[in-house]
Amino acid sequence: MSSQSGKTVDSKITEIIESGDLSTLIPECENIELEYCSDRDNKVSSYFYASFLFGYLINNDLDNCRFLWKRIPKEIKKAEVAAVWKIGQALWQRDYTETYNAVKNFQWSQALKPLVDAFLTNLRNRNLNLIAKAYNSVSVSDLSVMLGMGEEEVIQHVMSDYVDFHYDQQTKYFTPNKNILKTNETTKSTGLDTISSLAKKTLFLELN
Amino acid sequence: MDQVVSLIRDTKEADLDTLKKTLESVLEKIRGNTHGVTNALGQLDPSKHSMGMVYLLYAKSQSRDVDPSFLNNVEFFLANLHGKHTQKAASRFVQVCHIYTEICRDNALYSRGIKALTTGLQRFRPSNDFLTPLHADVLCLCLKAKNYKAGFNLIENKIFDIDPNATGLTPKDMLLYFYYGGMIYIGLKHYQKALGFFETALTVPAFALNAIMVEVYKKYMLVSLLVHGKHTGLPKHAMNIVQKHMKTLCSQYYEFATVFGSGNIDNVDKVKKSFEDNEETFKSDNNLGLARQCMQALAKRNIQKLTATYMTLSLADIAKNAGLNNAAATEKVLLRMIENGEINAVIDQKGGMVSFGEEVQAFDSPQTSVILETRIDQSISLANRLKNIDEDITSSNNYIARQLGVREEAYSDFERGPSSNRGGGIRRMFEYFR
Repeated sequence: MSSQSGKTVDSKITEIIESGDLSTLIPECENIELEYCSDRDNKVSSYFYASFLFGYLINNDLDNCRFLWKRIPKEIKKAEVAAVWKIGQALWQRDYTETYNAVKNFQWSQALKPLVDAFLTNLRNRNLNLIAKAYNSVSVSDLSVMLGMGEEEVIQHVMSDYVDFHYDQQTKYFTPNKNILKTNETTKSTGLDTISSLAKKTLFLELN
Repeated sequence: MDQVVSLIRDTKEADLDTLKKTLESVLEKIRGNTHGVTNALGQLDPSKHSMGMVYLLYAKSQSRDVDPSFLNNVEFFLANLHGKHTQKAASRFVQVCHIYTEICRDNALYSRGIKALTTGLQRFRPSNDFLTPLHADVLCLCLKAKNYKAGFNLIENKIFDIDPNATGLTPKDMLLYFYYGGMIYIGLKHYQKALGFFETALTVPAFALNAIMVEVYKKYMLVSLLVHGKHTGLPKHAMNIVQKHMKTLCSQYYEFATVFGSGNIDNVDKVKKSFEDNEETFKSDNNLGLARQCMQALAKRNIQKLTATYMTLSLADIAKNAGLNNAAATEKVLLRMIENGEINAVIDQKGGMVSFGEEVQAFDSPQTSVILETRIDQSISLANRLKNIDEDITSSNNYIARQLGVREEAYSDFERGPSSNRGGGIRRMFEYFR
């Protein structure tokens, strides 16, 4: 049915990873899985599944990640794919020490590197946001666990301009800055689109 | 056989009903001729001869051991079928699809089936609003394949209409759709939506109890514990028979829910005990995972209750009150709750204290306006839909006749005389409209 060969699937994934826009990764993978893998003779590489799993991890979509792992064919559940899932497992347990270890202790192939990096950045940002929201004071050691960095590194990282935590040398506790990292501001459409949608709404109210 | 094929080929669109009758009558004969049917299928074009092909496929599906080419035949048909024509033979078509699904299910050809059926479903249904019997088939395969995402995409598309005549939908298909759909929502932790699905399944008009409904009810109770913290009971518009009998059929669930719902903070042990007592039942019903989720939710619920009483509380006290082991575990739970936005609290690690805050949401973020906008759009489209339905009803013959009939009776009662002549009826009709 589908004329793509296993090679082109891989190169498609590589293309997406290299383009740096990871938002298309998941839809593409889901599509490939249904379209291409529906034919039993078509085999996909472990590279595909590893990227697929990473895609969910980057979005922090653990539920879907877990189900994906459950449906991956047995013969592929090894090496890199299994290594990615190890991260997922640790995250599921909220065991951050184990999470960062799982990332560190595996030799990721060159092609997957960008995904690993994206995952780490996202995880750290997410945790920083959470800490800022949840804590009035937090110890250096806990921070270093959640960020997967050494204590020195943590101090440097969170005292930098864009995070700006307050650090008390004597007690070794941080006071998070509550106003950090207001990320992904959704941009609203402006101009004609807005006017037309407003017009539609007004019309609706007038008519009814 | 050749005659049948040429008949199918030569039939014009207007004569499909006659063709259907003929095919029904020869069904017995072509059933035996598997080889001939396979040949005939190869000669026909789904986009033109949908009706005939449905019958041939049906004949093929009925033979004792279905041959492997059947799957390919069905897939080819699903990808190219003509919606309107197929609808005329809906019930046979649906039977073919059910058999196809069973084969896929039993041979672990899940993603193949999901793909083919999804395409077929889109071509077959009159519009996006319609529920078809194929929906449940797809969802079943999704659950089997653990591909919840694919199922999720399907059920996110809202159902507004059903039409048994065009789609061959039976109550069983509908119940299964809401049952499987709810399970997919549970798998992805959309409990609120799952609850909605189950509720729909439980409130369909029914005159007898159904095994699917009983299973739905069990899950419904557990999910309502997750969402509301207690069992809220069925909505008022559920049929009496459902209300009456579920209590006896799911008594263990009732017991668990009652203990859980009465959940005072010092009740944690009781709930735990009730959970252990009923663990076997949950397990045999495949609801153990869900029940475990409830146990986790219990601690959260108790913490939420604390916020109503205290402004600040130490981690150790929270642990004690919520039935958690120690301060560290409590901190983990709290962190998770804060992350999910289930509670508004700030932890002070230095002093080991937690302060609960009021909801601080200024509603001035761009996100708020985006949400508001989508909600407005949803409301508008829903309102338009309702208006259309309303217009349809007020202009439908049945409705008007009924309305007038009732009027007429009232009128004749009033006059206390027979009002059989036609002219009188029409006169009254005019009066009614005046």
